[in-house]
Amino acid sequence: MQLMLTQPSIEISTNVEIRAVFDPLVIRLGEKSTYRVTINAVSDSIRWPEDIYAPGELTLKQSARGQTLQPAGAVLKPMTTINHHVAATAAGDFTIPEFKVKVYGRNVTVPAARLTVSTNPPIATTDVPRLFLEIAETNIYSGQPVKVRVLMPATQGNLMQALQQVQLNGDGILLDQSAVRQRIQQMEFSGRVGPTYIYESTLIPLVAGRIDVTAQAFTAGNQFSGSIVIQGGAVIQGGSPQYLLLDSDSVQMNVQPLPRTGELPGFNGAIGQFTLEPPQLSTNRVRVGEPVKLLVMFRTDGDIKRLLAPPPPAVTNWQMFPPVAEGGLMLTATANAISSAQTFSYTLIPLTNNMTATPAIPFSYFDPAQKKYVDLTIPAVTIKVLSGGATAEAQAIAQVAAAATNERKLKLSELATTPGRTASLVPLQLQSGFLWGQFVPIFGFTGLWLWDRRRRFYELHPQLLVRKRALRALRRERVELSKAAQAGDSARFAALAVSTMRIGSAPHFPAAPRALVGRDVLELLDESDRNGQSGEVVRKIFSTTDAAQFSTAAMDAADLLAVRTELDRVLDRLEEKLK
Amino acid sequence: MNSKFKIKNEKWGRRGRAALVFNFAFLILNFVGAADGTNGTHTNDTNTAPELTPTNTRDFFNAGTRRLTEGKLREAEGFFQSALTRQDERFQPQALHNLGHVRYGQGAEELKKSPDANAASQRAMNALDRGDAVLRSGSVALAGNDLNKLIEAYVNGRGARKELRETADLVRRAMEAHGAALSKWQRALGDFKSALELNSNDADAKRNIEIIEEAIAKLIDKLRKMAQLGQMMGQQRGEIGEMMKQLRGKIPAPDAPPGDAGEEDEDEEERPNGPREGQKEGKGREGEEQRPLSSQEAGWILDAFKLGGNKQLPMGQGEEKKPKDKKGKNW
Amino acid sequence: MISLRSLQLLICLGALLICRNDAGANSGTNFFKLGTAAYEQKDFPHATKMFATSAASEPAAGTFQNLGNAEWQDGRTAEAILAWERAACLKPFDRNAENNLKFARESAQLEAPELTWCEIAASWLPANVWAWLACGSFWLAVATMMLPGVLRWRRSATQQAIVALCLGVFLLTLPTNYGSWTRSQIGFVLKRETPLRLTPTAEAEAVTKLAAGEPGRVLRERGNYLLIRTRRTTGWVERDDFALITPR
Repeated sequence: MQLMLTQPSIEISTNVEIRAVFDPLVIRLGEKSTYRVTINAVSDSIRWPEDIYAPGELTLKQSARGQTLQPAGAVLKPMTTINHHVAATAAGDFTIPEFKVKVYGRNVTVPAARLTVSTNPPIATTDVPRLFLEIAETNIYSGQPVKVRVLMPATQGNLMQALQQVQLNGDGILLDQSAVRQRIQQMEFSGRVGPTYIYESTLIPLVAGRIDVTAQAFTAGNQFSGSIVIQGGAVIQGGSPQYLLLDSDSVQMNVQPLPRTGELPGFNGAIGQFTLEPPQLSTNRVRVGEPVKLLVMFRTDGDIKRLLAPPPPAVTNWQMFPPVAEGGLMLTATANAISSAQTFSYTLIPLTNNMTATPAIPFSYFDPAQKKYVDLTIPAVTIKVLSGGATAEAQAIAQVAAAATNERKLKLSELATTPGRTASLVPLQLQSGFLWGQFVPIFGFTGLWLWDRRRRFYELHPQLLVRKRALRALRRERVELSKAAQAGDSARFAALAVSTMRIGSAPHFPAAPRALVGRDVLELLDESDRNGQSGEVVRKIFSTTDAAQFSTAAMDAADLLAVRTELDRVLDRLEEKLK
Repeated sequence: MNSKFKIKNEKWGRRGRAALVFNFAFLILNFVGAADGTNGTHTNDTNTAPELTPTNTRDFFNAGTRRLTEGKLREAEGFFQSALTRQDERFQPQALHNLGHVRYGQGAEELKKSPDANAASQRAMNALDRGDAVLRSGSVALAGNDLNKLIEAYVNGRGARKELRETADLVRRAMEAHGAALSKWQRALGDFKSALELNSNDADAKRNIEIIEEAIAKLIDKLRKMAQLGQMMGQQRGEIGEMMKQLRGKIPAPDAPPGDAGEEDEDEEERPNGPREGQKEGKGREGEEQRPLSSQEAGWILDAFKLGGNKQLPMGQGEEKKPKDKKGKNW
Repeated sequence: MISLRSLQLLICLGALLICRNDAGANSGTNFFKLGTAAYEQKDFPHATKMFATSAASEPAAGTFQNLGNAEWQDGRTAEAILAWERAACLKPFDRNAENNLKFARESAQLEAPELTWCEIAASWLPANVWAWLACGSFWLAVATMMLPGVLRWRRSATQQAIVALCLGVFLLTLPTNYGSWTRSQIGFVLKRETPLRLTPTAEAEAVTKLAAGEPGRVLRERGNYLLIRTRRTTGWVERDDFALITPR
C-alpha cells in the first residue's frame, strides 16, 4: 500500500503548451535541419497529422517520436517530442505556418516555425548534439546477430551528456537489451577528435528484405542509467537535463534469408564462425543405467551468448538429456578482438553395454563469410560401458521406448508398391453423368407409381377395364373385318361381323361374348336403329351365320358384303357405348 | 350494419389510409436513398458532423473520389484500394481508373519536392568542368616543382572535390525523388492498363496510358542522365583525390595548407553508418519485399533468448546491497 | 430367342472390351514400374515423368503417392504436395500420403488448407463413397417405401426401420457431400513468389506474394484468372500458377 502511494502522479495538464522550432534555425543549402515539436502531453493522446503543410521548397519526413516523464515537484510531467527531418531545395526564409492538432480530444495550435536556408550561413554559435547510427554489417542474413552502435559526439568544449530511452526503429528487428554497453571514449568525427558517447548492443533482423533502421534517444544531462566506462577527458553537463529528442539518419540493411539448400544436419540457427574444442567426458568408464556428462566447448570471435547447443540425437542405446550451459561465458582477448567461449554439458545414460563410444551429436552453423553451412558435429568419444544392475528386460523396454520416440519424427514414406485401384479425381458429385443418372430411378419410380395407381384404379372400377378391353378387342376385330371385306371373303366377313358385335355388346351383359345372340345386340341399339336398317343388318347377319352353324347347308353370305356400311354404323354405335 | 359503427369505421378507414400512404411514402424515400448508395455517407460541410465510415464498395469508391478531388491523395488511395479489395466487379474499372489518377498525382508531388533535375544536371556539368580544369592544372603543377603552384593546385582540388561532393549529394537526392516518382507513375500506368483491360471502352484510360508512358520515358531519360553524371562525378572525385595525394607528397609539412589533417577522413565521414574499411560484405539483395522468419527459425531465436542456467536478466548495474531492515507493521 | 450368331457377336465384343481394358491397365502399370525403377536409381526427373504419365492415364492413390515422392526429391514442393493431396483424396485410409504432407509442410513451413467441418468429415472416406451412400440410401428408402405397396407385401416394422435408417444415412451424408463439393475448390499455388493480384488483369497490383504449395480456395473465375482466398487475404492468380486438387 505504501509503495503504491509513493509513485508520483502524472500530470495531465489542461493547459497544453506546444513548442515548434527548427534545429538549427539557419542551415546551408543542401544541409538538413530538424523540425522539432514538443508538447506537454502524453504521446497516445496526441493525434499527429500524417502530412504537415510546408512550403514546396521544404521536404518534411517524420523521423522520431518519443515521450519522457520529467519530474516537476511532486508530479511527473509528460513531454512528447516529434521530430521531422527537413531538407530544402532552394535558399530563402521558409515558414511552416501554424496548424491544429488534437491533444486530449481538443484542438490545439502548433505555432509557426521559421527556417533560414542560406548559401553562406554565419558560423553557428550553438553546437547541436547529433546522433549517428552505425551497424557493423548491413548485408547480412536473417537471424544473424550484428553489432550496432549509437554514437553522440560531444559538443563544443567536450561537453558530454547521457542518452536515455535509446531506441532503434525499424520493421522486423530485435535488439538484445541484455547486450547493451555504454561508454564514453575518444573518437574522431568531422575532423575533430573528442569524447563520444557510445551505446552498443546487438541487433537481430527477423525478416528478410530491405530494412531501414534509425536510432532515437533523449539527451539526459548527467543522468546516466546503468554503468558506464569513461575513457579520456569529458565534461559532463550538469544541472537539470534538457531531454532533447535526437534521431539519426536511417541506415539501410539488406537482409537475405538463410539459404534452404545445403543445410546440414544439426543446424539450429547458429550464424557466424565457430570452433569446437575436443569434447570431454566426466568419466570414461560407466555402468549401464549410470549417468555420464559430456562437456563440449564452443568458441567464436564474436558474441557466443546466444548460441544454442545442438539437441541430442535420437539413439536407442543412450538416453540423452538436453544440453545445459556449464559455467559462464569465457572471454579471451586476442590481438584484434575479444573471443568468447561457452561450455555445454550433455548428460547421457547408457541403456545397454554394447557401445564403445558416445553418439556423435550433429551440429552445423551458417558462415556468412563463406555463405554456406559448415559442419561442426560433436564427435563420438570413446567410453567403456560395463553391465549394470538393470535386467535385460528393462534394457529392452528402455530401448523400445527410445525407438518409439524416434519413430514419431516425421520423414518421407517409402514408395507404394502398387498403384492401387484406378479412380477419377473428379468426385461423382461433380460428374454430370452421375447427376443425370439420378433421373433413371426418378423416372423408374415415377413410372412404377403411375402404373400402381392405374392398377388400383382399375381394381376399384373393374367395369371400366372390361369396357376398355372390349373396346380394344372390338377395334382389333374391325380391322380383321375390314381385311376380310377387302379380300371378298364373305364367310369370314360374316363370322367376324358376328364376333365383333358380340365383343362390342358383351360388357353390357354379364356374359361372355360367345353367349350373346342378335337380340342382345339389338337391345343396345336405339329404338330407331333397332327398327331401321341397322336392326335389319344385325338380324340378317346373325340369321345367316346361325343358319350356317345349325344346318348342314353351306353359308350363303355373299350378299352380306353389301351391308358393310350399315354394319360399320352399328359397330360405331357399339363403340360409342363402350367409351 | 350499425350506422354509428359505420361512421367510426370510415374515420378509422380514412386515418388508416392516410397512415398507410405516409408510411409508404416514407419507405419509398428510404429505398431511393439506399439505392443511391448514399446511406452511411454524407457530404461534409466545413462545420457539420464528420462523414460516416463507408460500409460498401460504392461508399468506398465515392469517398475515394471525394478525397481525390480534394487533393488528399493518400487517403484517396486507401479508399480506392479498399474498394478494389472488396472484389466488386461493377466498380473495379472505375476504381482502378481513379487510382491511376491518385498515383499519378503522388508522383507529380514527389517531383515537386525534388530538386530540379535540369538544374542539378547543369550544376553537375559545371562541377565536372571545374574538376577537369583542376586536374589539368594539378598535373601541370605536379610536372613542375613550384611550391606555390602545388599549393594552389591542392587548394583548388580541395574546393573542386567539395563541390563535387555537394553536387553529387544534390544529384543523389534528385535521383531518389525522381525514382520515387517513377515508381508511382509506373504503378499508375499499371492501374490504367488494368482499367482498360477490364473495360475496353474506357477511352480516357487509353489516353492516360499514352500520356504516362511519355512522361515515364522522359523521367527515365533524366534519371539516366543524372546517374551518368553521378558516376562521372564519383570517378572525377577519385582522380582529384589521387592528384591531391600526390600533391601532398610534394608539399612539405610546414607549408601544408590549413585544414589538412581532416582530409583523409573525408570519405569516411561521408559513410559514418556503414561498415568500417577492411570489412568485407556480401552482395546485398535489393528491391525484394520482406520475408519473415520461418517458425523454426523464430523458435531458435526465442530459445537463444530464454532465461535459464546462467543466463539472467540484468537486474541492476550497481553493487548488490543488503535490504534495509524494515521497521514497522508487516502487512 | 437369341440366335447363335448374336451370341457369337456378344462374346467377341466382351472379349474386345476386356482386352482393351487390360491394354490400358498394362500401359499404366508399365509407366508405374518404370517410374519406380527410375526412383530407385535416383533419377527423380525421369521418375516424375513416368509417374505423371501413369497418373494421367490411370489415376490411382499409389501412383500419386509415388509421384509426390519423386516431385519432392526433385525439389518441387508444390507439385509434391498436390500429388499427395490427390492420393489422400482417392484413398483417405492410407496414412503415407498424410504423413508425407505433414512432413513436407513442416519442412517447407507451409500451412495446410483450412477445412470446414463438412470437408473434414468428407475426407474420412473417398468422395465417391459418400456419393454412392447418399444415392443408394435415398433410393433404397424410396424403394422400401414404394415397393411393399406395389408388390402387395404386408407392411412391417422392419421396412419402417429400413426406411428410417436409410433416410438417416442420407441426411448424414448431405454435409459430407457438400464438403466433397467445396473441397474440390481447394488448390495450391504452383510457383514460388506467385503474385496475388488485386484485380484480374496483367498489370494488376500485387497484394502479396504466395509461396509454392500455399493453399487457396477458388471463389470465382474470370478469363485467365482465378479469385482465390488464402488464410490471410483474397486476390487473383493466373490459372497456370494454381492447380486444384480435383482438376476440372
